[in-house]
Amino acid sequence: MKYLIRKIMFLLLTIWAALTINFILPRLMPGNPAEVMVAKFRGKITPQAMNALKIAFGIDVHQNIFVQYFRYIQNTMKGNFGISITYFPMPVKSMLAQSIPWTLGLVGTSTIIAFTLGTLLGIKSAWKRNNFLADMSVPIGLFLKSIPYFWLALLFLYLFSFKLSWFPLAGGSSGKFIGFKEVLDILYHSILPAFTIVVAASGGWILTMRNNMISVLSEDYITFAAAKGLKEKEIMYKYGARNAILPNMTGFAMALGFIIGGSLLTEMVFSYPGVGYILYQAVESLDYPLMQAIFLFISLAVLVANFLADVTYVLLDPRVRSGGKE
Amino acid sequence: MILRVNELNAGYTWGDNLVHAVNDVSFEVEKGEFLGIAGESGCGKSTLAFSITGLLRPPGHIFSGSVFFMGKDLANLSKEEIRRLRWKDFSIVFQSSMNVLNPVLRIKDQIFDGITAHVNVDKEELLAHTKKLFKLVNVSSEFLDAYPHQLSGGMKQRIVIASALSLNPKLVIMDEPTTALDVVVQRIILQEIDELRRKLGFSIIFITHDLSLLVEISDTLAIMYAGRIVEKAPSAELYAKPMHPYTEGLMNSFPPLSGKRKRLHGIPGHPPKLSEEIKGCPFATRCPKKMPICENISPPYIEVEKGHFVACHLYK
Repeated sequence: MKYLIRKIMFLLLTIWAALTINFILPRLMPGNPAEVMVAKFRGKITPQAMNALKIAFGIDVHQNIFVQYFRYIQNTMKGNFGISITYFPMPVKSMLAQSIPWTLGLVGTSTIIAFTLGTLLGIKSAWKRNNFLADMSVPIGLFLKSIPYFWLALLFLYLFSFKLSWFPLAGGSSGKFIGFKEVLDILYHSILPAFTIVVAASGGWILTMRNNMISVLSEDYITFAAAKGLKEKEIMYKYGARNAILPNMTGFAMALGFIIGGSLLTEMVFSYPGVGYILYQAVESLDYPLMQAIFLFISLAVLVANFLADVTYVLLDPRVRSGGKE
Repeated sequence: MILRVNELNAGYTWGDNLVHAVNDVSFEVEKGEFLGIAGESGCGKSTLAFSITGLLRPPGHIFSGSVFFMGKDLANLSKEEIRRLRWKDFSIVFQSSMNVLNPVLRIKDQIFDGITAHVNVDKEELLAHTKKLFKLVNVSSEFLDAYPHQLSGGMKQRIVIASALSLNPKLVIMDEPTTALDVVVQRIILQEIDELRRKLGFSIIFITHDLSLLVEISDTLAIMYAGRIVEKAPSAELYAKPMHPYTEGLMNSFPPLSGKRKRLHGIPGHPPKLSEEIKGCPFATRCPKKMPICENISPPYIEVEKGHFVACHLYK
């Protein structure tokens, strides 16, 4: 319990730090979004309109920095992140609300599938070590891990969508359907991008899980479990994998945290309407409010995922529960 | 007869390397017998224990010989048949009991799974039986819900012993089960084990590098050197009349229980490397009674007196 409270305190502290840094960073940069807007309108803008823009973006340079800070915190709590420049005059809030579900659906699901699949394959390949097929998992895993993702994605897109026309070329849905058919349409659009993520991400999980598993399998408690006459499956999962997965939990939590940022390359290659795609566009057109909000969300997600990893760790490893003490 | 080991050869191979850790070992264990196997570190004791129980993992292999458990040749049994024998018919307690418990599972679950892998019992029976086992090894049953890291070394050891006895096996092999503990606890646990044996009637093979620990308690003692059994006799006889110069040397390395104070003598030199082929008697280089024949011909393992076996050219 004490451990949990300590972790929650730490989470709150880091969230506050992230918020503050997110406030300071854009203010250290020269220029401001309103000026970007002006450039966009090629100077065809009146000073009044310019002022209105500044207020809309929440950059009132005449105000005390502390007042600005408190207003920023207030606005953030309310989910008010200002107005997007790229998609002017859409508020950043609705931009995020539109893109986050796409990203969570695609990147979230495929990250979980990649982790589960990679972990299972890693367990099996460690257990069946010295079997040709099991040992092939190492070069295959290394190959998948080191192949440039955008190249793999482009190759798949070219092959399966362009040449074979099995899958759509771009987008998250065709927008032609409603109801259940729409769900199927969305699923159909997500298969190929999800597949590329799973293929590229599972290689790493296979390798690390195989490594962990091999070192756990040489532990005395594995031999002892065999001496007890336990069934192979029980030794493999309850004694082997149960211990081997512990070091991977942190990595998995980090991966979960980064889901919200979207998979930039995936969403670009497949023109998928997720967070990564709008982040790319925000960067291209110096859309500070949008960038700031996305970065804030990414850091919050990573922090929360880390917190969840710590909590899961406590559930999975009794040694952490007592904090190293009796 | 519970166990018969017949000219067993085992060891480790990797690439062109070979370590011949168990060399032509033969012995028998009767029902209820306490057989002690003593020898220096690295003489193949643990390899012997692992070979007998079929737990030797690559790069370890059994090269030749056979192990008969209650008349059945273990080499002829399938993996599943051996799995069913484990814990129920023979169990093993490891050298490093500190690390034989799964760190993430509760103690009771680790005892339960050994039982439920072999017999069908309901939860209540399981718990009652485990409590009885804990009482047997003098561990309070409040530790049933504990995790391994919450226990002391001695407690873990007792719990592992309790687990090994949980299905009332006919043979328990103990590979240096008390080495990691201090002398006082060692002695207490050993006495407890012996009491349990008398109560439950199982046989024990007790492996240790500490001969003094075994002399009083075991029925029979076997002395291992460089992967071979060099002498085997009833404990009292071996203690009173050690025949092999190595046994004699060992006996002189610890103080007698009674009698005058004497200067203790170790055995000079080192045991031969098991990774090299040994010509003649493996003890020849360190033996104070060496004869020319010892360097060339390996002495046969023969019964010199009734029940007293020795492998030495001094005895014909």
